[in-house]
Amino acid sequence: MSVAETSLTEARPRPGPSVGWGQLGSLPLWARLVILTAAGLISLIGSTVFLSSALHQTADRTTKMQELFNVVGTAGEAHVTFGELRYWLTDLSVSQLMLSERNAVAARARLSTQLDLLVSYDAETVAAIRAEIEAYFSKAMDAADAYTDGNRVIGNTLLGNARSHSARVDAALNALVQRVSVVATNERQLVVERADDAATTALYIVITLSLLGTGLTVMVLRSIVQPLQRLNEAITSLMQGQYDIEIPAEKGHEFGAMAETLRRFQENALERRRLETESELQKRRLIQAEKMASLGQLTAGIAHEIKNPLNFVNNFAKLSDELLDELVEILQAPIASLDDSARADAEDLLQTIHTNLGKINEHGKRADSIVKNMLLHSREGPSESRTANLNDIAAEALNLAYHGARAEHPGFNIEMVKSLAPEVGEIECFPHDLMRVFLNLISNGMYAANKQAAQSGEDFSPIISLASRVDGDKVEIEVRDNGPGIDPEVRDKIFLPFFTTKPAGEGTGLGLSLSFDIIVKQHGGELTVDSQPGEYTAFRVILPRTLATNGENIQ
Amino acid sequence: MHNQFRVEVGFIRNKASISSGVNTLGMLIIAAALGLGSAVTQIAAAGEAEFAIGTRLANMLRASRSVISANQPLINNPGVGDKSFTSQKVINDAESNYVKRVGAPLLADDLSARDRRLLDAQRQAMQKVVDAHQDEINRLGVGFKGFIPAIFARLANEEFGVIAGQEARIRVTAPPELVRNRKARPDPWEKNIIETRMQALDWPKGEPFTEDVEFEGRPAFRMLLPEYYRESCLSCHGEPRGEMDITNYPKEGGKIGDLAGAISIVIFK
Repeated sequence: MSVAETSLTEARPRPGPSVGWGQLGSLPLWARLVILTAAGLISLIGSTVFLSSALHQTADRTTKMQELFNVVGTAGEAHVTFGELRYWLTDLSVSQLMLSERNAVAARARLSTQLDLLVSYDAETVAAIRAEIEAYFSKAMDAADAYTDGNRVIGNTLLGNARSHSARVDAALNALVQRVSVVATNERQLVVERADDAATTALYIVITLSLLGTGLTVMVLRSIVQPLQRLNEAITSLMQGQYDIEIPAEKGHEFGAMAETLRRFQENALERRRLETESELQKRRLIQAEKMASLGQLTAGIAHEIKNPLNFVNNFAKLSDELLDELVEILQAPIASLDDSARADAEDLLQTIHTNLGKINEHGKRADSIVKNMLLHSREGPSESRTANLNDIAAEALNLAYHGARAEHPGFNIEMVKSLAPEVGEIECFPHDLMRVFLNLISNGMYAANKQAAQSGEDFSPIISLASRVDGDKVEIEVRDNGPGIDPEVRDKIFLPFFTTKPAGEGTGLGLSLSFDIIVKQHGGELTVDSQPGEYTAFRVILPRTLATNGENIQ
Repeated sequence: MHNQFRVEVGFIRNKASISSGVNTLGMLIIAAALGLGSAVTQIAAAGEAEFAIGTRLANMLRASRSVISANQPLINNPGVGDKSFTSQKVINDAESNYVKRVGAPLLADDLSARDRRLLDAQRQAMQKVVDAHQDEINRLGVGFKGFIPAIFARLANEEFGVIAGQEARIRVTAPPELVRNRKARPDPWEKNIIETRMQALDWPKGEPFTEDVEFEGRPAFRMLLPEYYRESCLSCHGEPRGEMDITNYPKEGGKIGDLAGAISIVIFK
């Protein structure tokens, strides 16, 4: 998998930080500010309404209390006025002065006015007091008249009668003052308590609203500042070329739009980078392919040059062996005549030469085989279809791949298992192209098994196995390795051109793609893969025994 | 009633004007002020006798009050014990004053028996009052003693009522707003005359009012003689109004010549 793809996959937006006030964060900025302002105004209005209501209540109660104290005051004044009335009436009896009488009359009038003010509070008591006052006044005036007329005894009697009335008035006014005083004092206590309560409540309200207001302000500020900070960090990173960062998933109109813009910018940047990377890879692969092509040509040239001298070596070795046989026949008698020691040496020498010539021939053939394969593999130009033994092609490919690998990596070793069914026999095919396919599959398998061996240590022995069988009118060749297997995520991509999991420079990404084309399009067969990650990978090549008539056209 | 009043008043005035030619100028002025002349007493006619004795009683009352007034410094001297301010002295001085005021002695030879009785009763009452107050008058260490002309006059009048109440009454009254002692309150007749006549702007200064009316169920001659503030009155009744006088009574705010009160006399028929 490419770096770009990985980044894109991981760069999916994660859910943004939601801290309970997510609802707030999803609102437009103006709405948040409106909420803040509205909360402030509501708090202000609410607390003002409460305070004014409390003030009103206190004011009402204060008024009531004031009225009660007014009643107390008026009752007290009435009491004092009554004292004056009593004084002047008493004085009148003694002094007979009109001043006293006038003062008494005036006092009575004032007293009446004062009592008028008390009627609304307690009409019944006031009426009773009035009656007593009138009785007292009447009696006292009668007494004064009696004194004026010189009737002292009658005057005394009448004054005595008057005194009983005045005592009742005195007591009643006293009681009224006391009674209203108690009520007024209680009312005042109540007013003070209510005012205290209101003040305490107001204090709590102020504290609560302050805390709530502070909290809301902090929340709104956070809902603005934090996304801005995150976006700012993201922007800074993007500006520094760090595209594979996480774009904060902001909600809300403004920040959401900003985040979305950043995300698109990031996607574009990542896509561009991926394309750049891919383009670079492709360039390198093309160069590699070009190298390989020229190497193939070189190889073909070298093989061709070596093939003729090698033919000489092989032919002369074979000829020399035949000549040696003839020489042994000729020398049979002379040798027999030699003494034992010399005869033994001669026979030993001849045998050694025979053996050496056999070895020359054997290794020459082997070299010839290698050269043939090299020629076969590097040959360019259109292929030709013919009948060929599929098992042989596969075995040759295995052999070639093994030697190729060993040539590249001196310490390379692998257990090779062949299970080839003879009844597969010959099929109609493009042998040269099939050889390419098998070389690819086998090379990949050896690479994978060897990679697993390098990772697992000495307990692991890499195995590559080759098996063939007949399946109806088709034949099947399986190439299996015990390497790390294929990641299921990439299984669909392995036949795509330029797809490779090998490090850059080690694979072109063309092998399987080319093989797929050769098997499916050129031969009308099937190429399937079965793999268990960590266990094995098995490629199956299924081919018809005969090519379709348009087989050439496919290529 | 009204016509009768007019006739009587006219008569009196005529009498006064007749006498003006006979007497000296000073006597004439006094007589005019008091509303009578010495010649009045000499006319014996129906109503005239009552008018004459009424006037005499009133003048004697005024004369005696003057004595009390003139002797206030003595009476109120806390440093003097026995002041020899005896009842006889008061009577003598009062009679002397009377002569000065009226120009004739109190007791004339031609007085009727009733008039003589009444004048005796008046003097007797005055003496009795002064005698009864000797302890107060002679008390050492006390300044103002309250034995003032008005008190003296009221007590003397009350005493007169005790002695001669069946034949006559004397009292001093005043417009209701000026009355200090409720015993001096005007009765309805007095109140009416004061308010409708004497307080009227066109009432001749000093003019008495007389009328035959029923009093306490008996036919009677009633007489009302207006009294005006003089300088000596104003220390207690003058200005400023409301300020306390020596008796701790608020002053009435009166001015010289203002109607101060009236001497009311009843002569039963």
